[in-house]
Amino acid sequence: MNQQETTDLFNKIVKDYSERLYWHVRDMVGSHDDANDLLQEIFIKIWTALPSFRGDAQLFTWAHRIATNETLNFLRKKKIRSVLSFEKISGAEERIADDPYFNGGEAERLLVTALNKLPPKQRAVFSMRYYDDMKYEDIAQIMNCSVSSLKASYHIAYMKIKDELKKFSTDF
Amino acid sequence: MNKRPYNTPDGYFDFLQMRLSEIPLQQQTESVPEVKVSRWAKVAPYFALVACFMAILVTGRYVINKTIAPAEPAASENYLTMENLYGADLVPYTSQYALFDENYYEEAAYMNEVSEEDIINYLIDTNMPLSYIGMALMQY
Repeated sequence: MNQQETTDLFNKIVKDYSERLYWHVRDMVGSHDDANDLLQEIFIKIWTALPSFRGDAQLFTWAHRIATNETLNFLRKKKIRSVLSFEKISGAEERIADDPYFNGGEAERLLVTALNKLPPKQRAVFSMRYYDDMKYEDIAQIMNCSVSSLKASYHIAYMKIKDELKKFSTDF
Repeated sequence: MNKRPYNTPDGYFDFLQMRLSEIPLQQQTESVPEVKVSRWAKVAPYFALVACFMAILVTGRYVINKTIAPAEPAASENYLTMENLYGADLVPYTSQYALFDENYYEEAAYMNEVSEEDIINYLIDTNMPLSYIGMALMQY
């Protein structure tokens, strides 16, 4: 792949998938500002790795995998930073209350709160399945795991969210 | 597909695509061309280091030789000096009077000769008892 072909392919990824990748990252990090910063890093990674793209995976799956890994790294580093600096990470409810771009109703607020309480990998799996309606096979490729373990992971996430929503419904 | 309960700033995705499309250009300008380093350039610092070390050694040696007095010659050097002696240097010392007076040795022998009378006078001077003087004369 020469320089021009690489640039064309990169521009195609930006044009076709940047919005979907933004939402994927936003689901995982929960804030527009973090997603915006992280997306720049993700696309730099995509540009760097593009010459080694062999075409044996779908371009969208490949780009999604890079985005997922980068986002998981970001969340891990954020957690370590907060532990080292004794800084408390704001809770799921506080994050939604402080988010100026949240425009859902009460049911969505409860769902997003429950979603934000999940571990990052389960959150990513649930978001891709629930919001993007992606196939298990595609999600398994992105998460680099088998379909059966992915289904198990999704089921656990689903049960946790259900339990959280039940808790909220008994509170009202 | 379920709708997410978020929105973004107005025109965000247009801005995002424009910003992301600039990445190839930014990365190309940021990448530094690889500079080829010759083999000599790699080893030159080591040669310079060795040269500096040698220069310090030579200078130090020179300064020490110039400023500190030579040490006492070693025993082996003394031996070498002895080798350079001539036979005449080994002749016993001769009195300078002997060179000009042919009777010097005869007179010296006379002067060194001790007579019986000298002995008796010496013993009398040292208050020696007569019995001891008699015994000494018998032995002489």
